[in-house]
Amino acid sequence: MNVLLPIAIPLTGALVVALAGRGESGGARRVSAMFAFATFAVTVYLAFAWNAEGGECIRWVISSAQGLGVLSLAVDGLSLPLVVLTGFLGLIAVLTSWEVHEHAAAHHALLLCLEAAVMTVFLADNVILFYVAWEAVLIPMFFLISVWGHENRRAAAFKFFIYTFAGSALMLVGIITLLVSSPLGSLAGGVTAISADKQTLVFWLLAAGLLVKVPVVPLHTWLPDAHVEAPTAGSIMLAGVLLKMGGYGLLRIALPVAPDAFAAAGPVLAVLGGIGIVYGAILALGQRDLKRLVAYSSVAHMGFMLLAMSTGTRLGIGAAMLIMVSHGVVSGLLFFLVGAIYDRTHTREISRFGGLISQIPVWGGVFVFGALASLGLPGLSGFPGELLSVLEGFGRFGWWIAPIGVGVILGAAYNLYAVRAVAHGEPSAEWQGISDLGVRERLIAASFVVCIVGLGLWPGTVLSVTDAASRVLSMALGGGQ
Amino acid sequence: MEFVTPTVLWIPGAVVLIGVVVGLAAEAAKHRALGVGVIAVALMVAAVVCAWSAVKVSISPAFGWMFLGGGGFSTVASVVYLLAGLSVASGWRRAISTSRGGTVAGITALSAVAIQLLTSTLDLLPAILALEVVALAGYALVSAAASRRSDEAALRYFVQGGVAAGFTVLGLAVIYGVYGTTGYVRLFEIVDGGSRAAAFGMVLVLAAFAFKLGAVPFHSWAPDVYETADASVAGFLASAPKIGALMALLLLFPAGMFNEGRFPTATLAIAVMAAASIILGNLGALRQSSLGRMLGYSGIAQVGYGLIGLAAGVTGYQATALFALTYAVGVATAFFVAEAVRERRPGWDGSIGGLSGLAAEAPFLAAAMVAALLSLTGIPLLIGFWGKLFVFVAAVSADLTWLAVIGVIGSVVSFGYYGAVIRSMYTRGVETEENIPAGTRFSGRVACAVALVAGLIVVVGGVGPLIAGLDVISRLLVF
Repeated sequence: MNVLLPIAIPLTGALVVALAGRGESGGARRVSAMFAFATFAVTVYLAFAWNAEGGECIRWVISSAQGLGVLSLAVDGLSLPLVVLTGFLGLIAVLTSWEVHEHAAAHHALLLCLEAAVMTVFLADNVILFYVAWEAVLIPMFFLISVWGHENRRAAAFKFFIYTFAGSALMLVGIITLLVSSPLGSLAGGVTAISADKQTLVFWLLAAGLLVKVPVVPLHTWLPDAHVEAPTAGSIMLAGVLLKMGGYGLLRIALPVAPDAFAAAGPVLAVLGGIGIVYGAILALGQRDLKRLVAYSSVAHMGFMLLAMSTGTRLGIGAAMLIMVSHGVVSGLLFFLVGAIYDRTHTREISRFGGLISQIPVWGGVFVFGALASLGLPGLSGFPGELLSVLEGFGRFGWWIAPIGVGVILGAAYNLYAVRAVAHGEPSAEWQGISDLGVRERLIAASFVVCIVGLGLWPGTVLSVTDAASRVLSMALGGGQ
Repeated sequence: MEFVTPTVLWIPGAVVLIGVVVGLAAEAAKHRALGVGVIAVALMVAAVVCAWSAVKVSISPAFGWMFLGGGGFSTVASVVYLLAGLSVASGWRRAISTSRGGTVAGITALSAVAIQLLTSTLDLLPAILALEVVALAGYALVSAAASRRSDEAALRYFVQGGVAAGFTVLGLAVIYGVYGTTGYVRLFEIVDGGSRAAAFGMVLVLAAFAFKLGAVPFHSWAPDVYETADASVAGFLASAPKIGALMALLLLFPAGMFNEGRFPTATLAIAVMAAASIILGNLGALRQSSLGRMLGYSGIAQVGYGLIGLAAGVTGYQATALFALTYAVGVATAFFVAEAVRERRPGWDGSIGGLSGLAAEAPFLAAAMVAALLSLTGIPLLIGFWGKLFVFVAAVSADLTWLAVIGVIGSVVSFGYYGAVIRSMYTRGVETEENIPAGTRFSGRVACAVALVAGLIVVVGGVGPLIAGLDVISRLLVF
């Protein structure tokens, strides 16, 4: 039952908010904050329960179903960090939308629906439920962008839907091929490879859907539009957890069912990751819009994730998970900050900012912190994962990964460029007298900072949780350890 | 129970026919609302009885050997009667305020009975008679909209349908002339794949049913008809007859006398028709600005998915039936919402752009439309997803992966036009004040309630199998 709660609570909350919260926005946001907090508490409890059971997979299957019960859930070391991350960011997303007054009840209900859907993706124990949840994520996200987004929201929402739907339609063919060639099995049940001749086909069909979500460079063009046009809460969820669905799917489904194909695809994935690192950083460097810069930085970070995963080693897979969690928190913080400054100035244009650290010191300070976390400063959460990614990549591919060094330097460049242009420099007279972060916003920022420092100092917390799963997966790829 | 079993299978049809007679009599006696109400209630009773026998009665012959009932056949009939009943209820205001009202309801109900016969008969003669009744009812229902354009559409539909009817009769003649029987059971034993006459008959029969389905290349009537018919009527015309034609094809092709073993080219022809329907239907739908026309073209694409299931042979039997039902519920819901919108905004020109602002004005109605359109797209948590999923699984199992790929690409493209409707509803529209005509508030609410009930069915049908397990689908569709 515990495993159902992270889905059931936000879903109930969505229903309550939608039915009871019409009218004034205060009630809706308070109720949804309560439900989001309960969800987060349950995910933390789940983490402790999982630990208490010695890291065994915890399952839950609906008892009313006969035979082909689709609603079966499981949590193990691979999904647990992402479940907790979703719980955390789900709460943050509700708190950041405190000032949404237009159809507040609908906005909060959709946010909670989105959280429930993403939770289901991470907790699903069979491919049908995984696919159902994967697509279900699109619906609330589509409406969040197209109703509460910025100027070009409708086009962006449309593009987001079509791109990811196109990818997942191919993934559906892969899943169906999988269903036809083997019975509906448990996803958390370890490695159940299908026959070798079908692996390549199934892997690439699945990867088509998963890589769009990651996103990988030629398939990434939906991302900046969707991120930029989405409301702040939407951007946080999009970057923080929706992008993780791709990496998670690769590890949860694609690798276990087609380990040989995954191993063979390793170099391709590494190249795609490398392109993401370098190209994402170049694009980020060229942006004039602060939100777009943060959006492109996601492409670069996910590149590191893919590189780590492509090595197929135990540490590499662990690093991929670590990067996903770290990026979830760091990008969440940055999108929150961009949203906060946009609320005050109604612009995101980098050139119109300057010297904000002297005008609004708390915002400026946290922004500098966030940018440093994003560039991978040692001691903050981005560093251990990306370092491991490069180390493992070097171990597997040798000097072939040298071009990634360019990406690392560019990564430092665009983050420092943003810091210099926005936080430092000549204070712009335009923003004289804007208010600094309020109490609610400081609390949000502080919780992000705690997570980022915590993960930076003790990356082992995530690595130890995922280790058992990483070991099984790396062994399936033929890795000795 | 020995006595109940065969009786309960023909009772629904009898109830509806009696309801039609009583209803028309009441209308003639100037009790129009009562008459239409009787017909709607009779259809709903029939739907409930069929649903009961779907669960309780295993497949058995009814009314002599006239048709099969029980199991999956009753499930199908139940959905047909339900859609007919909802269609009559959806057109309530028009039905009680115009002189044609009772007639439209009566013809809809008769058509539903014919469709039940069509979906379950084991004899070519009643099948073709039922097909012609459905077609004739269709012409009448389209022209009942009583506009110049609908008359034109009905006439064109009638002329094209006449050619198709010619095929049908010729096919029947060929088969009867060669084999001396029209019963499927006997024909199944004696039809020979090598015989040219049998192949000729097969092609003619296939063409006749493809016309009723609106599959490429017999599709050109569909967009006009859906656009010009009243939305409540179109909700029936776009859904139930397609169930009928697909189910009849299932009895003839994958497991019947024209099975793949004997006529391998027939399977290929169906597969090509499926692909062509999906491609051309999608391309056509993308360019439409009228909701009805868009649903017409998209309907052409949608029957393509049914044909995929048909091409998958016996493996696709259940999938085809499931798809037919889920598509029918989805498209009917879309039309019922359109009818409710027409009640709210009498000046609506039927265009997609004209729906702007609907979400702010009537959020639940807009939500029902979103559910219907996403269901037609094949998004999970909505009923249409299961239909498409099962069809694709059948196609891949039958080594028709290429068809499944065309199908999923078609689904993605379809969001281009289904999504455009959603987009329009959620844009801020012209500020419309309360423009529900005075005096029709209650009847307007009936259409709205029908749309919401249909929307609810789409969602419950989508979520239900997740909770109850996928077995529920195979239990309801036993053939």
